[in-house]
Amino acid sequence: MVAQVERKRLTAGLTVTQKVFVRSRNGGATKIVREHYLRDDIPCLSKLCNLCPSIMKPDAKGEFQKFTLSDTPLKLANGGHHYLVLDTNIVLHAIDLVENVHGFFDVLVPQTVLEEVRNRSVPIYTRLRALCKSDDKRFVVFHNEFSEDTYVAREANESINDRNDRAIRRTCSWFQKHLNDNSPQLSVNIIFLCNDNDNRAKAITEGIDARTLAEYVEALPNADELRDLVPTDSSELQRVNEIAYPEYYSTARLMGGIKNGTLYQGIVNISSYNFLEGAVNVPSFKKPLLLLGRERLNRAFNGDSVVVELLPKSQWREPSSQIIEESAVEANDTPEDEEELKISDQERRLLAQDAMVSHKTQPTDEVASRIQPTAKVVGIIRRSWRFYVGQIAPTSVSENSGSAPSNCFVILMDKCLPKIRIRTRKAPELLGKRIVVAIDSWPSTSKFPEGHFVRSLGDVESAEAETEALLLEHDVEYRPFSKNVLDCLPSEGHDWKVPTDLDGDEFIKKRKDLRAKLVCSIDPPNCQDIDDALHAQLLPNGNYEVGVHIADVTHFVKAGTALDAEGASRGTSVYLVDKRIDMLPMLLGTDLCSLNPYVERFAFSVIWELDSDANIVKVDFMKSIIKSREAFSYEKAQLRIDDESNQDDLTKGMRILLQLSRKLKQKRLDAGALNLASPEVKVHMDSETSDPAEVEIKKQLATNSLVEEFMLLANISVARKNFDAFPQTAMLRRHANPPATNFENLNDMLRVRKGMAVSLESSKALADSLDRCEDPADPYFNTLLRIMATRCMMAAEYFSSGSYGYPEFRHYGLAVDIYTHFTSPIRRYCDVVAHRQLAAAIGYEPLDLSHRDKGKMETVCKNINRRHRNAQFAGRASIEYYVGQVMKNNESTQLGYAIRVFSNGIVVLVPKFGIEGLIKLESLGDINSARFDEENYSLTFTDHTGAERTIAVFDQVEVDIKSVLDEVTSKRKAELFLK
Amino acid sequence: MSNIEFYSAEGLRMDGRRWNELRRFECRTNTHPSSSDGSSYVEQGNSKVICLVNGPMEPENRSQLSTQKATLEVNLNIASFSTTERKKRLKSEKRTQELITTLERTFEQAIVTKIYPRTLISINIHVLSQDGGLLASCTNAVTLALIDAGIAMYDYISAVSAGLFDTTPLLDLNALEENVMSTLTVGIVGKSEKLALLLLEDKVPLDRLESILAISIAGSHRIRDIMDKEVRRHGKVRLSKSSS
Amino acid sequence: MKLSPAERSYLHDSLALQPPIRPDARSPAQFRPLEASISFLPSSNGSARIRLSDGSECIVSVKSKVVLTANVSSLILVDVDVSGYRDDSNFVSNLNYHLQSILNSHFPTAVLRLTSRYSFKIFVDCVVLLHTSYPLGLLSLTTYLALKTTSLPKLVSEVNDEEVEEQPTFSDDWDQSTPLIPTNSTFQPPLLFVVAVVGDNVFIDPSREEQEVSENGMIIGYETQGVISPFNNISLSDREVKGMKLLHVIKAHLLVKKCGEEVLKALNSVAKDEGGNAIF
Repeated sequence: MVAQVERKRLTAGLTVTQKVFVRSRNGGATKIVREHYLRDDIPCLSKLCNLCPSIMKPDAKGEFQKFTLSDTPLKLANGGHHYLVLDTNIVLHAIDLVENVHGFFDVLVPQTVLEEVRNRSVPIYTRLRALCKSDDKRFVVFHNEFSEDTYVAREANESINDRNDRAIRRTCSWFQKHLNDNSPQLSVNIIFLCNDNDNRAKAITEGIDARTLAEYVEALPNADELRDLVPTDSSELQRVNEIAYPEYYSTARLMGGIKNGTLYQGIVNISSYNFLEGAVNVPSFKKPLLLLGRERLNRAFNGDSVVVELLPKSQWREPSSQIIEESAVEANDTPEDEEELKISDQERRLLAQDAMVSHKTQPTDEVASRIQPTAKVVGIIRRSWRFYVGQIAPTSVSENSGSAPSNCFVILMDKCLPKIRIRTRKAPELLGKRIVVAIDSWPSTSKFPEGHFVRSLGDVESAEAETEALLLEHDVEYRPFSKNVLDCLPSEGHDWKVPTDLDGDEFIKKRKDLRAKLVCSIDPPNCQDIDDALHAQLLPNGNYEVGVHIADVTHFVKAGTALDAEGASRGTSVYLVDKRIDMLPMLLGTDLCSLNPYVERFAFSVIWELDSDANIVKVDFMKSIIKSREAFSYEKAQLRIDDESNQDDLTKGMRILLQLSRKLKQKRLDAGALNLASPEVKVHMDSETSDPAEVEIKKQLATNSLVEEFMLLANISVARKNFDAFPQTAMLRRHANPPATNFENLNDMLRVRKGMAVSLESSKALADSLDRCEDPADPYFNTLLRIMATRCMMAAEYFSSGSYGYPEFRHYGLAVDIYTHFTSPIRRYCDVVAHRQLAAAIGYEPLDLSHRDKGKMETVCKNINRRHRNAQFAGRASIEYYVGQVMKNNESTQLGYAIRVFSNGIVVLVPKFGIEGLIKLESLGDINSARFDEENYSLTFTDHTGAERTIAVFDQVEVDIKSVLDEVTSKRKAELFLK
Repeated sequence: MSNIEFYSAEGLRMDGRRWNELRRFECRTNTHPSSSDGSSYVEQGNSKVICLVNGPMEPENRSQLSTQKATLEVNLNIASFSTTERKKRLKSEKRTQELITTLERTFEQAIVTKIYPRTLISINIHVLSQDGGLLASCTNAVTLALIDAGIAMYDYISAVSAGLFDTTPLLDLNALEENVMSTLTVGIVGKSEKLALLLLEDKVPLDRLESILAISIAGSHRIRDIMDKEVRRHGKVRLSKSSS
Repeated sequence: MKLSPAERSYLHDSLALQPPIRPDARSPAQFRPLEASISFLPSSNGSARIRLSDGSECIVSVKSKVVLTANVSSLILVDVDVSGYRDDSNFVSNLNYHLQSILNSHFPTAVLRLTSRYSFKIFVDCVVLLHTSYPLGLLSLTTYLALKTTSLPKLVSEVNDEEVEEQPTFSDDWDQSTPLIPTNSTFQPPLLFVVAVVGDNVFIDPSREEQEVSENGMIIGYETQGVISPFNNISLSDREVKGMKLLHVIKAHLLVKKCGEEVLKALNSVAKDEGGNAIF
């Protein structure tokens, strides 16, 4: 029996009914009852309509909605003037096509579709909402669920999906009738796009013009452009017998398994050396669980959030000591063909206990100790799919495909990912170009994921294509700032000056006038965005006054503006070799905020009184106005200090800074700060051709250290102040202690090959033990060790102070108990937030509520951590590319060190250029002659001259560096060859 | 939950109302003629509240008496089944106590207590279902029950809740909306703009307070009109019964 | 309520007559007139309300929750809240106890089982807004109605999860929910009747005055088949309890058997009524 939910009429235009449903979450069942109001004043938003402008109601600000749907919509030969209605699945699968600037205008989005999209994919929902804001696309949302005329109640035994389909069809019919009745001057049709055959058939019987996406695109005047972007319809695919991946478990089973501890959830990491091996980090286990082989990986991508199940003990293996790349693997080579054993939950629990035990114990049998528990993927929680850059595999394109759409493979730039199969007509012309593709699906019968072409970036190896590819791959936003964002900048633009009347504005009144201080800045040569400046002077009581002044970015970037939103989204400036992608518009970065010399600028200052041993006597924070006297490069500053003839106050101040900075550094090292080395390189561009000319390692001068020390001190002081004022939401930075397991491998290699060890008891112990590891025969060994130690470290991360307890605030590498980033707001968003919080802490201005909300702060931190990581990778990739280009003309022989040894290759680091490369066994010598000694981390083989050689970790080797263009990925790299 | 559009770009809330629209408000007086001196039943959206008033009467212990005016006693019983998830409540729960104190204070000013010295007016509120606006519904129920009991009051006290979503004020919040935004409950005296009750939960920027107050005052007036209509209707029915 | 000695004696004598005369002219097996409504709380799985002509009123709500069968001791939980009484007072605890124990012993918890690991636990929350006489009978009638009109969400996932655990998932359509007590089932929830003893007479559903002058009282359980346990005696007045004769017990038994059938019929017809679901 169906209970009739009645509607009550409240006023002439408003009726209320109830929505009753069962919410089934986490195994529970709750009866939910919600009110649902139906109204008659929802406008259709078409410029042609005569009726709707009179029935509209204003919003809280008194504004009315804009009528967007065009009065001259696109006219099709077989459809006339029309507005589009898109079905949910079309939006979900073909969002790229829908967003395309050359098609899909005047689209009506029913609320039903909007809500279904939101429930299935929040990112696509965000993109759909963004389309609604765009003036060119003219997308409108029609709330059909709240409109009396288009609301449909669920019928007995009707599923939710059927009811939603009916609601959408009803909306189409009503809209058509509404337009016919109320827009006499032009006859407009509604075209409903739907790929579901049933729904389409029903729509046609109801008199709606319903078509598939492909049919519609064909009918468009610019069909040729858009045809290829139509995603493959998975229902059309018939790849029977290609392969049979195991089906994923049902959601109920996955949730049940995770809850009772028999299944585990984690993120997949595919090894960069072996694309068929993955690992999942699960909190219950000390070491990651291995996923070996195609079938066990079961279509998981690097970065996906997956659910795994432990395999029976008989199938546990060692981690692969092989290097395997996708391109090399042609045939089906699933490693094991063992039978799928049926085991119960009870057995799974026992298996898990075994696994945990095996992670902990140190069995005497060396071989057994290597065996680690393995698992298989049984479900994917969230895909990490995004746009990918790659190029068409030449072997997959046949010459005479003509203009018929054909299947071909796209090999992605990211080596951890498989080939993608796409259908395109333009395959021959796309050869040799970098292209962007998106993935649609990976059915269990398909050996490769199915995707579609999005756009082309240009020729492989061309600088523009490579740079764009790099930025896309690392998810860096590089498009120019939108009009909305630029409108937030001061209207005077470059003519903006510090106002002469300092008492005019209530905020400017609060600033301190520090223009008399002898401030100067020290930065890399040709630096245009000067974040920081310093000054120092002797105080009458014998102590020193030291000031650090940071560009006052938050004066121009106010919370809640489009400018702020864009900065928060970008998170950081990205530094490529030849390009800088700014977080904030250049007007701010290089002019208004930049503490350029000889001009007055707003700053945020930290003033300490330090004694002669660099202890903090007191600290003060203030918004200020400064006037930098000089902008030095590191070299020039060093020269100025060293020249004894300079006795002016500014130089004296710089000498004070240098002396104090030395004391600060010593104090830090005594406390256990780590001095690790990473091979940072600088690529010199030839000024004429802007081609890379030379590569060199960056050198450290005393003045580098000077600035660094005071920046650290400022960051620490601000961190303390912000945490004190906002204990739950202060923006801070932490560096977790490295877990002992990370160092196990390194320590073992050290012990076996050099008879040394590093201690992990504390950062001081680590620093001291690193100092002791000297090889008298090789002075570089210590640096090499430090580089390898850096890789064992955890990454530092931004966090909100409410997320952790005070002991976890520790920054291991700097050996301080609390830290933040404050000194570079021009290029880091964390600093912008820290500035705002500090401004509120000193009472300068109230803090925006979003920086006091724990949840919002955690979201911001997650984003900036991700962007920071991506920026680092992008920077390194850019260097790698340019080093490859430099090597094109400068092949040479260099000294290198083996840092990893596999059974079929070695990895060598070349200190001079800071590059590392894999040398495979094939290029070392005779592959059959190889003997891999795992215990001693050495590989013995017969090289091409017939001599027998043994190479072990830490050994010095000589290598030839050549620039090689990889055939398959078209990536140019510096490749190493053993001499 | 970021899954719900609390206030869409088209100006509609998650249940289809606009920013300044009240939920369905229905009320009845004299629902329990044999068990109390005055009674009422209020439904605001899905919130359902029964109020029973007894008094003015002789109190149980003389110590409770005030020689100048009537003593008010409010008992608030929130049923454990009143929320979507069943939750057993203790009578001594802080939130319940806070609501009781607020109601006592509000009505001590609204009732002409000086004409009932040395008596006790006992108000029993039973909350059967709550979907946001609990204090407001209780206040409205108490007003109606007091009128039904014939206890002299200076004027109606009508209450409604309102909140702030980003920069938009929203009137009459339901439970889901209350969870995500700061709520202001306001009780207005009759047709004036005087406040008898003002309770703010969570934070609101000072410059936005006025806009929220403005719609809550307007909303309260509308509720007062609906309550007044019901009281008059019921009065007519009683009159016709007694005259025939 | 204070009765004067004259009133007391008058009432007692008229009740002890053969045949007895009850102050409101009811027969010994007759209930007081009542009004009942059902399914007025949309957020509960089932709800019922009964109000007597003297103002006594009781509201019962039934809500369900999915639990791991192994973790809970009982699948039905009764909670009584009487207006004006502390939750830990003897009065309330006693009422609670009676209702809980009869449901514990006479309810087929098999209908609550979902899978081998999970079951529904139902919470029967009773609120007595006002009572004049001992409210157990009123509570029992209302609970019966509430249980009769309760529906539970329908399970759509695997029922057999012994080997492999699945989280139970339910149909989101409330219209597909299944009644707790199917219409064709032979089972009906049990009822409790309060019987007062005056002289040699027994009376069902005693009013407040009748309770005041009663010499003894009984609580008797009833189910479709007939009288069931409990069969306790209880003191309904402030005065001292006089002993009971076997005669009283037999009479009470017969009385309840007779009334029980009629009461069940009446309640079932209320439960079937679809009608508007307004509370008043």
